[in-house]
Amino acid sequence: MDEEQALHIVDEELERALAGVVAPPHFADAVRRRVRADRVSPLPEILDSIGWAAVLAIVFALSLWLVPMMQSSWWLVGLGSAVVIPALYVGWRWGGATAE
Amino acid sequence: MPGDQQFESVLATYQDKVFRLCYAMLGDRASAEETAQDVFLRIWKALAGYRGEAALSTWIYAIARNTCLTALKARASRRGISLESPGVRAAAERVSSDLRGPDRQPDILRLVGELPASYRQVVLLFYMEERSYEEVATMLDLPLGTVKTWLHRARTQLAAALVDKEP
Repeated sequence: MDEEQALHIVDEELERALAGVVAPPHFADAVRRRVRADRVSPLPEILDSIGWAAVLAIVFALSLWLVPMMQSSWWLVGLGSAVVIPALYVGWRWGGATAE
Repeated sequence: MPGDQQFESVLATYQDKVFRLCYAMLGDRASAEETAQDVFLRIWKALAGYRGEAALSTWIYAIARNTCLTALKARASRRGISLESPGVRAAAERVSSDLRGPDRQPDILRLVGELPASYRQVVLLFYMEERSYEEVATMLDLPLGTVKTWLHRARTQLAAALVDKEP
């Protein structure tokens, strides 16, 4: 057999062995299964939303408890004292210092 | 979803091409199938970010080549570990590529398996892709002249091996 004949056989045999090679029939379904399995789960987002809803509910409950207290006279006296007393003290100190 | 439709279209159009590219680069059908699935998983994740800077086929083949190279590196590192143990090494040899594998393969494919990797890839793709030099060059991202040169050398080596085997 000379080289030309050998090359012809090579071409024929490779053609026979390799022409028409395609992906297996189940290939596309296997890819789809893997894609579905790899999709990001919505569960963390749902749990996150539940967590934030709980925080807002607690803040709302606390505000319902605190707002009536803020309307009572003792609360207003306390708040007024917290503002007025330091103001008087600062005024007295500042006024005294400049008078000297 | 529109993304799903686009992916389905890509899968239908390129599944055979990607499988053949993986087969040419990895040398056996089982690895090719697994790696081609990995390729499409990567495509699915990246498709939303594809802006069309390169042709879709070029983009897909680049992902496929990179995924195959990763698989080849993983295979090489597994073989590296196997060298430490003769038993594991023997097992690794048994599961090595189809092309160098058992007698059920046609002679010509066993001869192809003995070619250097670059020649082997070009030969396998050339005959799987209906003898299109251009398609092989695109899929392997090689210059057309390189594909023709490597193919010529590979065919010559295969022919010489056939002549040598002649009784």
